[in-house]
Amino acid sequence: MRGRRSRAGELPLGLGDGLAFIATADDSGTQLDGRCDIHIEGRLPLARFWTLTVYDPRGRLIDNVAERYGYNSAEVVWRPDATMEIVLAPRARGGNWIPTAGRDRLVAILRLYDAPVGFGSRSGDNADLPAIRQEFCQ
Amino acid sequence: MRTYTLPLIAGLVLGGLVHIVTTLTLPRVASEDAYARLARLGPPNVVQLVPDSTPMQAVLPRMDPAFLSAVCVYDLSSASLKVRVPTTPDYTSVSFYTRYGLAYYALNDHAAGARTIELNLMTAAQRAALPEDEEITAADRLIVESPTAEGVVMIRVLVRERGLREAIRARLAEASCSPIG
Repeated sequence: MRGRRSRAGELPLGLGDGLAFIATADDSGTQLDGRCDIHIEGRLPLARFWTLTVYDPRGRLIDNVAERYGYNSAEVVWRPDATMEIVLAPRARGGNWIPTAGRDRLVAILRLYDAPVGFGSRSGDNADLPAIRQEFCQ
Repeated sequence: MRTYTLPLIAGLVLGGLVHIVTTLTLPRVASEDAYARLARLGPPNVVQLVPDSTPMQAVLPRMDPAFLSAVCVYDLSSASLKVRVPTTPDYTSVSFYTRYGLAYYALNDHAAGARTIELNLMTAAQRAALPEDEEITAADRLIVESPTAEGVVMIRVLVRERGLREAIRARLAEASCSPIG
């Protein structure tokens, strides 16, 4: 794992900084496909701040005219029940939308900054991670 | 048949060894690791602003676009370093990586609890060489021990609203890392 990271040239987050959750597939195990509508929905673990960003498999941002590469906890539109839904889709739509430019493979990274200690060491209970499902593939 | 068995096994064992050695050394010999990419931004022991990632170009892959970053690519072989990072009203963090991209320490503005995060970065040998009385005054000074003489200090500052970007960039430009003594 470390070898792969070094070769890719990435500097992963340190634990004192934040935690990163990387999704390359949906809950059924199907690879994230930017030609589909990808729904990321549910609660998020406690943190001072979080970001959700979409990349191509080489770790580059996805080109789009809106320059919208992700959402963070300050700008996302929440539902009244403290859940949220972000949709990754090739075509513009309302709500929390991240353009995918129809790329066939995507990587979504959820980063929690200043998350409570213990969460990263797996000593706590199961994290409240949002569900990921895909539909209407073109 | 027997004449082929021994060379075949020898070949497989040799192949296996080569595979293992290559896999284990790859992180060290890869030319385009994070350290190499960041070292191209400028000389060591100076804070450099990292250009914002765009779909067309990025210094490192998978950077978080919600943040502005600056780095100090360091080399402690001649002197230890003083690292000063002005915090912003929002999330500010300082992370330390070895030459090979392993995160060994990180702290943020809340953990530091001051308007300026200030710390001394040194090797184990430099720390051991500190005079005794210095060690006492060091109680209110943060010392970070680097496992390698070379490494990277990554400073990340959150930009909550796009309009604040330039003001935060100016604040980030005040960060410094400079040799002590």
